[in-house]
This record gives sequence, C-alpha cells and structure tokens, in this order.
Amino acid sequence: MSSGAHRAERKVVVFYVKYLFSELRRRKGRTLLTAMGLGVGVGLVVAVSALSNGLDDAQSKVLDPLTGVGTDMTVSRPLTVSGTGSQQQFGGGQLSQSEREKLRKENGGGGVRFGLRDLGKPGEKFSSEQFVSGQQLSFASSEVAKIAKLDGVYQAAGSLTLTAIKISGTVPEQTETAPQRGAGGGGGLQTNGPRSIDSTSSTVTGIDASKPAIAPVTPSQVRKGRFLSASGGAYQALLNLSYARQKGLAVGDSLTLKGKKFTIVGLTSAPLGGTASDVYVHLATLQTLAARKGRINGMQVRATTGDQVAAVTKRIKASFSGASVTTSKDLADRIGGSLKDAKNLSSKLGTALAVVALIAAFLIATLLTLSGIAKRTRELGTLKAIGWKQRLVVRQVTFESLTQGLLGGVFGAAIGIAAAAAIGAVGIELKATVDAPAAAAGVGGPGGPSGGPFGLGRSAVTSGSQLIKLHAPVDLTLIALAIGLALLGGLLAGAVGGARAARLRPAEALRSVE
Amino acid sequence: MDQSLDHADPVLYELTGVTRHYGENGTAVRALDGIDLTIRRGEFVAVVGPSGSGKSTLLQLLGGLDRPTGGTILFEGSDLGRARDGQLTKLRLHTIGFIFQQFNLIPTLTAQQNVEVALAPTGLKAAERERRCRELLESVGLQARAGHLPSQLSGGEQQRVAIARALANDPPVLLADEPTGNLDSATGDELIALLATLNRERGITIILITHDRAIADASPRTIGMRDGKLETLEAAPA
Repeated sequence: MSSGAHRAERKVVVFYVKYLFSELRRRKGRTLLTAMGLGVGVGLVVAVSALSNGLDDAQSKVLDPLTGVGTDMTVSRPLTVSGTGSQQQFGGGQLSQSEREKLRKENGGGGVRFGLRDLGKPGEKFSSEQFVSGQQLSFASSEVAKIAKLDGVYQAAGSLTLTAIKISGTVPEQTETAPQRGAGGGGGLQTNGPRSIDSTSSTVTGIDASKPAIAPVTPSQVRKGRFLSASGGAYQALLNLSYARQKGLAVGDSLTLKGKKFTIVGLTSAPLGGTASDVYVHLATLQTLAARKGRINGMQVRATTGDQVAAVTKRIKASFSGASVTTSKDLADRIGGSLKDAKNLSSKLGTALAVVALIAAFLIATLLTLSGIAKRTRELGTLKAIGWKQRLVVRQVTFESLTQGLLGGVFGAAIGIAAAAAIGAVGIELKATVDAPAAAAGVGGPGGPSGGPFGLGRSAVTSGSQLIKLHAPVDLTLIALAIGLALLGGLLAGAVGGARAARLRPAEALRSVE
Repeated sequence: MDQSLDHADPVLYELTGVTRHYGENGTAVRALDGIDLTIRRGEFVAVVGPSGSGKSTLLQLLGGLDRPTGGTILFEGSDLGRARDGQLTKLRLHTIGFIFQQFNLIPTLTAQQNVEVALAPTGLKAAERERRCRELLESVGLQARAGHLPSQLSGGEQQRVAIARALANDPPVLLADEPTGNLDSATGDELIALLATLNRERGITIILITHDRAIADASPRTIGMRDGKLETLEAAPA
C-alpha cells in the first residue's frame, strides 16, 4: 500500500474505532460472554501463578536462612562416614582408620583428650578449654582466593567452625588400665572416687565479617544489637538467641573463650533449617585462639547467576580435591511438610488446571467469534459490496476480537487479583519441616565411633517445623501476563474469525438470510 | 425489449454469452444461460421476471460482486470477469452504488454513520466526510434523522439512507435489487421518483430489479428474464 493510502487510512481510524465499539455494544451479551470466558481462563492463570509466587516466597523464607542471603554453595571437606541410615543420623557411623588419623591431625595430633593427670594432683581444682573439629577437615584459607577466581564465581568467603569444649572440676584419683577392645582406640582412664568434672561445649564460628552477605550469619539475622564490625576490635561476639537465653547473656555482656574476654555485640536468630552456631566471632580471632592460623573448614560461594551454580559446583569439585559442595537446591530438597505438598499441587494440578482453563477460554472466544461472523454474514458482505477491501473487513473483525481480549484481560486481572486477595485473606498456614541431614548430626569423636557427647566442630542445623502464612502476590508482571494472554486469545479468535470473513464472497454473503 | 435506447450514448455494459452456473456439472444450476445485453450510460433499466429467473445474479455480475462462469462482461471496455479482486473492490467503491431490498444498513450505526461507511475507505478527512454525509442525507430528505439508528427509522427512511450511502462516492451507476420490495406502494413510488430524478438530473445509470409491473412499465427500458435468459416482454395493457 502506498504511503498516501496509509495517510488516508489514518484519517478514518476514529470512524473504524467508533464502528468497533458500537458493534461490541450492540452485541453486549456476546461481548461480555467472550470477555468473561477469556477473563476466567486468564484469571485462573493469574491466581495459580500468584499462588505459585506465594509458595516460592514461603519457600524462600524457609530457604534464605539455609543458604545465607547471597550464598549459592557451601564448600567443606567432610570426613567420609561409613554406615547407613539412622546410624549416621545419630552419630553411629564408622570412621576408617585413615579418617580417624586425619581427624587426630586436625585436632593437634593427639585427638580430643584431656589428660586429667596433667591438670593437677588428685583433689585439686582445674579448668581447661580446647577447640576441636569433629567432622570437617580444615583447609588453607588461600583456597578461598583460588575458588573466587573460578569462572562463574561472584564472591567467596571462608569460615571456621569449631566446638569449644570446657571441662572443670576436681582432679580425681586415677589408675591406668589396659587398652579396651572395641572402645574405639587408645587406652582408657579409670577414675576412682566421686565424679566431679563438669563439661560444657559450644559451637563457635569464625566469620569473614568483610563479606557479611555470604557469611554463615548475616546482618539480617541479627535480632538485637549489631553485626561484627571491623572497627570494633578482635574480641566481639555474636550469640545465637537461644544460646544467649540459655546462658542468661545479653548484648553488652561478656563471654570468655580460651581465656579471652569477648564483648557480646549482637544476638542472632536461629532460623528453621539454618546452620546456627552458638557463638560467632571474627575468623582471624578464632584461628588464633584455636591455633589454626590460615585454616578454615567452610567456604561460602556465590555464583554470578543462578544458572551458573551447577557449572561452578563442578569446577569447585574439580579444582579442590575432597570438597563437598552443598547447593541451595540440595537444601531446598530438605524442606517438607504441607508447604512442599502445596507447591507440588500448585506446580502440577494448578498448572494443568490453568492450561485447561486457558485452552477452554481460547476455544470459547474463537467459537463465539465464528458464531458472530456467521450472524454478521450479510453485514460483512454489504461492507465488501460497497467497496471495503478484504483487508479492512478482516482488520475490523480482528480488532473487535482483540478489544474483547483486552476486556477479558482486565476481567482476568481483576479475577486473579480478587482470587489472590482471597487466598491472603483466608490466611492459610503452611507447615515447612526441615530434617537435619545426616551430615549435620554429631559424628563420634576420635576416641571412638560414638565417642563423645558433642557434635564436634559442626554448627547445628535447626531442624523442626515452621508455620508460614500463605500469600499470593500479584505484581505488574502477572497483570501484564493476564492482559497478554487474553490479547493472545483475542488475536487467535480474531485470526480465525478474520479468515472466515476473508473467505466470504460478497455475492454469497448478500444472499444469506440473517 | 429495448424501449428507449439512445444510440448516441456510450456503451457502459456489454455482455456477450454470459453464463453463471452453480454447483457441479451433473447438478449445475444455470442461473444465467447465455445473456447478450448492452446497456448505455445514463439509461434507466428495469429488470423483471419471476423468482429464480436470474435477475439478482445478473445484477451481482454487473456490480462486480460475482464472476461469470462463461462469456464476457465488459464495463467501459474492461472485462469484469478477468479483473482482479482489488480492481473489482475499487470499482464497487468509486463507480457503482448498491441498493438492496433489505436495506442492509449496519444496525449499530446511525443514519449518518451508515453513509460514512461508504466514505471511510476513500480516506476523506473527517470534516469532509461529515459535510458530505449531511449533503447526502439532505438530498434524500433525512437531514433531521441523521443521528437515528436504523431501528428508529421507517422502512422508507431506511431505504433513503441506503440510497444516500449508495450515492456517497458519486457513482455513475446505481444497481438496485428490488428497492421497493419492503416498502408500501406510496413509499415505493416516492423512491422510484427519487431514482428517476437522479437518473434524469445527474445522468446516473440506474439498473433496478423489480417485481412491480407498474414500475417496470414506467421505466424507459425494461428487460424481462426467465430461466436465466432474456425474454421479449409483452406490452402492458393500456
């Protein structure tokens, strides 16, 4: 078509629009039925999508603390635990001789031992504190820099998690005995007289406070006080809320670790599924106190994009022998309960329902448009008879359908928003349960397969359940999706109707009886 | 048959051996069966004949709404049977006006908008279209009813709107398919008088189909049809 013809057509757009609206008004019932049909289909898609978003949000709420705000992967070097199932979970796994050896070296060559004879003469008071690692092998801090240089890695930070074991009491009478079979190695001490030894343990994590976003504890988890600061000195500590409550400690109080006095600067929450230590201090401080300078046993890694996680995981494993990489997805898989059930239901039944509704809506719109064209055969034939080009007639029909689609989109968005609001108003609560993974349970110390009452050197995963109120957030993207889908339905109906209108021969159309 | 053929006027239509068959060979309906006909510019021609005689089919072929199965239809020397769809559309827009028995107005549009429907594809400016619509409605005596919907108009008024629409682009030819078929006799007479005026004063060629013998008798030229063929008409009784 020439540009002159284009200009001419633009001048009459207003007329075509008037004609379009007058036609839609005249066939109000059909217009509303078509728009409502599309609206219901599209509204269902919006509601299901909003619900899915809500479930994602709920899962994120549970998952965020697991992963840290920006952490995609956690790297560690765990000892291999043989044994299966519940045995592992309850610390009943077996360590091979070589693994025990590694752990002994990890803890200073001799393992976790408190030689009571060395503490004084029988009857004397004593107090001793050691930092031990029960399950994670340490590695050089320089690995952080190496991993940070890998393709797809945005940021990496190291951490060191140890168990501080403190024993105190009175040195008892002791007699040395022969090594016991099956006790898990080493000789034993037999104490005589009353047992007057107290032992306490707490998990302590040294974090790189210069990278708070990917640290094992983040500023967002601080409930009282503040996060560790660079200017606050080496002896600042963050305490887990429940630990602080248990010990009767508050912000501003002090805590002693290995003879050093730490000021408690903040209290952090222990979210569901999160790996929560009792105490967090500066990494360098803990390394010094625990005589592990330049050593870490955990690394938090953030990928440049979510798509890169799998590839980065492979690269880390390839470049770092013995590394275990836990991704957000691994952690997400641990979430169970009605939240998971609802998410499954939403992703399977909800999506199927939405697709069926959408197809039905498109079909209804198309059939109603075709029926409308059939009823308007004579009108469209008249338009052709008086000189309307085929293209003009088809365009008019298509735009009518598109307008119905737009109206359907508005209905759909309204229906979707209303449904989403209803979901929010009902206040459905979903339960998210997180089980502690086998690896998180305490593994026996070096003295035996289950030799020790502590989960040595490993933060405890907060297992249990959490109730999350379900919301179905509708954002602009969803509204755009509603209108887009309805327009697509309108376009489809318009295309089919337009094709039918195009095939009308004016002579035949004029012969038809309305 | 040719009652008033002025051989001085140029030929508008020249039909030679025109046939229009519907359906397959075995069961084909011969709506037109070898029509030879010449119509000159400025003629007023009435086509009469019983139902199914092929009158409407002939009118549709003359208006470029349909194509013949055989033969040629020359319009001002151009073969309509070989014209492209776009050329026929242009012919219908600018050269031929149609008037239908059922009026065929668009029910959702006012009288003025129904006239505007025929002007819209020409790309005239809105103000020009409005002025032209007013003039046309005035010429058929309906200026006061411009804002009324077809359902608010009488049959005669609706047919006048249809005439105004047919005249919108000032066509030299008007084809009317039983324009008085749905009107009472007085209104029908008025309408025929209006068409006669248009023919006489503006030189518009008018070809109309009618069942009304009185209208046929009053026409300067009457063509009879039966079974898809032209037939010689008997003179009306005096």
